[in-house]
Order: sequence, then C-alpha cells, then structure tokens
Amino acid sequence: MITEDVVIRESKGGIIICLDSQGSFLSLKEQILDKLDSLDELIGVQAFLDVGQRKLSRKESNEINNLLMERGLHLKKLVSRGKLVDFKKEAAAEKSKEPTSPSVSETNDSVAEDTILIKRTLRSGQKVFHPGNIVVLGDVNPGAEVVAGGNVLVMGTVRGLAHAGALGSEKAIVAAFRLNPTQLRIGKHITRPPEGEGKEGKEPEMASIKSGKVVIENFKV
Amino acid sequence: MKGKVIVITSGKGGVGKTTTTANLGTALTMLGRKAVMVDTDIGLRNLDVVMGLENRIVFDIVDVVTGGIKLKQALIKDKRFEGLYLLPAAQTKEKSAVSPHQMKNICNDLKKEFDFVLVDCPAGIEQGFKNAIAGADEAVIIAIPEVSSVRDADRIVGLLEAAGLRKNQLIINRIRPRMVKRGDMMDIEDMIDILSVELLGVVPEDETVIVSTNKGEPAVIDTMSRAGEAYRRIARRLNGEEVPVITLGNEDKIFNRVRRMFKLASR
Repeated sequence: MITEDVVIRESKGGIIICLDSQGSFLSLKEQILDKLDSLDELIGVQAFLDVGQRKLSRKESNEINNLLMERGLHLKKLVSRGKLVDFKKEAAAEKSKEPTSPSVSETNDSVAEDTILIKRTLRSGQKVFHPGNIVVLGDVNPGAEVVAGGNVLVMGTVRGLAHAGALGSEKAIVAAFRLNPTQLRIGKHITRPPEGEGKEGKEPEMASIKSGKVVIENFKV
Repeated sequence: MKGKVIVITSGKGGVGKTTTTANLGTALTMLGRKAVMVDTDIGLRNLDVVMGLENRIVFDIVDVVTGGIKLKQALIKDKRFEGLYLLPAAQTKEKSAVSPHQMKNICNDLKKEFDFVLVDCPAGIEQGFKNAIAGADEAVIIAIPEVSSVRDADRIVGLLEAAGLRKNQLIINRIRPRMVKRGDMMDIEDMIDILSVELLGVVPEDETVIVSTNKGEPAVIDTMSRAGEAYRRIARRLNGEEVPVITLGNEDKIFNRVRRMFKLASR
C-alpha cells in the first residue's frame, strides 16, 4: 500500500493540508499541487498547514504560501508537532531574530498577508472572500462575486459583483481597468448602474464613498 | 491507438449539445476517423433518437457498469457509417447509477479503440455533469447568443477549469445572420470577450437541422444544409486541419457581392 505524503482534509474554517515528515520537499510541493487541482472552488478558502514532525525552512514555507496564494487560498495558520503556530506571528518572530537582513521575500510577505492575488478570471458562480485586499489579474464575470474587507482592484473588466469594505469600512475603494458591474457595494452602500444606459466605460475607473455616496470617477494617478 | 475524449457541454439545456455530438461524430467518421458517442444523460436519453438508432438498443451504459456486460456488447454500430458507434444511456435509471470513477474507466477503455470519444453531457451542473467530465481530456462548450446561455457557459468553463480541464473550446450555435447584422443579437466578439476561450466554430440557425434531427439523420449528411457545412468544418478542425472560422460578417460580404453581381446583370 502506498502511503500518501500529502493529505488534504476539509474542516470548518477551511482546509487542512497535512504533510508527511518523509519525502523530499520538491515531491511534496508537486503532490500539494496535484491534490489542490483535484478539489474545486477553493478561491478565498482559508488553509491550515500541518507539517507534523517536519521542519520547514523559512524559504520552504514561503514557497508553499506563494503556491497556495496563486490558487486563491489564504494560508492562515501553521501547525507544527501538534502545536498551532500563528503564521503572522511566526513570520514576525523570524524577522526579529535576524533584523540585519530583511530580505525581499519577507517584505513581500507582510504585504501579501492582507492582500491576496487572484491570477485568473472569476467566472459565474465563483466567489472570493478575503478580509484584506483582493487583486484580480483577470475579469470578474457576471454572476461572480469578489468580496473584500479592504479594497478591490481588478486588472480587467468587472461585470459581476464587487464589494469593498465588506466588514464595514467606508474608506475602501473598488478600482478596475473597466468597471461595468452588475452591482457595486462599498461598506453598507449598495449601488447598481443606472437602467437603460448601455454605455460601457472605456477608461479605468475607481469607486469610493464621498460625502456618504458611492461615486465613480475616472482613475487618475 | 490512443484517442481523445471530448466532452460536449453547455450548462443550459436545449442549446444543441446532443445535435452537436451527433453531427460531429458523424462528420469525424466521414473524414475516415473512428468515433464513438457516449450518451451520459441517464434517464433522459436522446442521442440514440437523433441518430435513428433507438430500436437497436439492447444494453446501455448502466448495464456495462453494474450488470457485467462487456463494453463491446453495449456499443451500437451506426447504420450509415463504418467506424461510428454509440454507447447509449439508460432510460429507466438515474444519474447516480454511474459514478465519475466508473465513467473514467469507460472513457479510458474507449479511447484505446477509437480516435475520438465524444461524451454528450446532460444539462445542469450536478452528478450527470460530474460523470460526463470525469474521463474527458478536452471540452467543447456550446453556447447560443443569448445572455442566459453565455452566463451558464461561463459557469461551466469555471467548473471545467476547477476540474483541471485546460483545453476548452467554444462552439456558438444557432446564430442568426440577419439579427446580428441588425444588432439585435449578441455578437460573437462579445461572447468570446466574456468567456475568453478559443472559438472552435460558429453554426448558423438552420431549419433543416430540426427536420434532419426528427428523421434521425444528422445534418452533416445533407450537403445542402448550412449548419451541416459548419459542423463538417468543425470536425475538420478537431481532426487537426486548419480551417478558417466563417463568422457571419465575411459570409455576408460574399452574399452581398453575389447580389451586386445580379444587380449589375439585371441592369
């Protein structure tokens, strides 16, 4: 019987990825990818990584983190030898240990923890929720939803639903290369495009709340 | 021989999955390839009717999975073309009678024998859909130029991608040249823009399809049928040939040119 090096379980808050202590890191990585491909609708799901007896180097855990983020997963916690390790805290602790060499990957990491990057088009029926910011490299099609506690930035066309500041922030914005949403929400404000006006924006636009109203303006730097 | 399994799907019902499967299967055999069509719409089978093979069914896909019937025994040979076969669905069972795993095994067995395994997917995104895509290498998505159809097709592409299917191609079915010209119908560019998948072909609305479907004869057999011609071109593309896609714009140009010639002649 072949024992599996990577086991993915579903749990209340998301999924748990358990790694075996044996086997090379490279084959583990491949197996994680294979396993993730066999699951669907993972975007915005929180992931817990259980490394068991294995000791992951900073670089290795970063690699797994990036790999998960590319699939729209958000690595929340790392479990080591049955102990729960807060990923954020661990990163901070690691950082304080070697304050002399703040490498590029670490600075990227701290940003990446509140922002997730979705490198694909969100299609009808797909929903992303993330408490931080969401960047979509692709379109948000009709019937798809992108809901962020922070800001929403879409490097493509928004045709579906975009919700920024979903946890109540009125300062959040929605910016898109083309903004033609079915519905746009910021904080508690819900807006929809005026009826009958079929014209599509031809410029990058940004929606924000100004004096209590959602305002859409051409995006200018 | 190692063939490929192509699932023909749409999400929405009534957009032409079964008609497309029947026509592409027939057209591929007309090109000299061996093809088998698999009907996965258990409980609502149609492909056998469209092919005019209904009265030849003895065993079906559920018998193969559960009844110890050999795959070869359930395959029905087409009455017109050598090298064309049908694996019918069961009419008296439900979708859950077959599991995705069993479906995958059937597809793997079939592609050892055939160049093309065309899987006709049922409407919807439930078990029937999951079964149909389980063994597929590629997908062909059928959409008609209506907002609801494009929406469903988009959902389907998302599910296909999530299932690891990377080669997804689009057939736009039942397009009406005159309505597109008037701007009353969604145009092809808009559809491709939203779905962002490769265009495999465009099939015009054609009344002869309804007639031939009711007679149990695929439209590709009729050399006068415009839809049949479109399906023959799509089959050649699936067979690896480079065939330009006729969108209605350039077809109209030819039409106008002919009309102009007549005008000149009548002066």
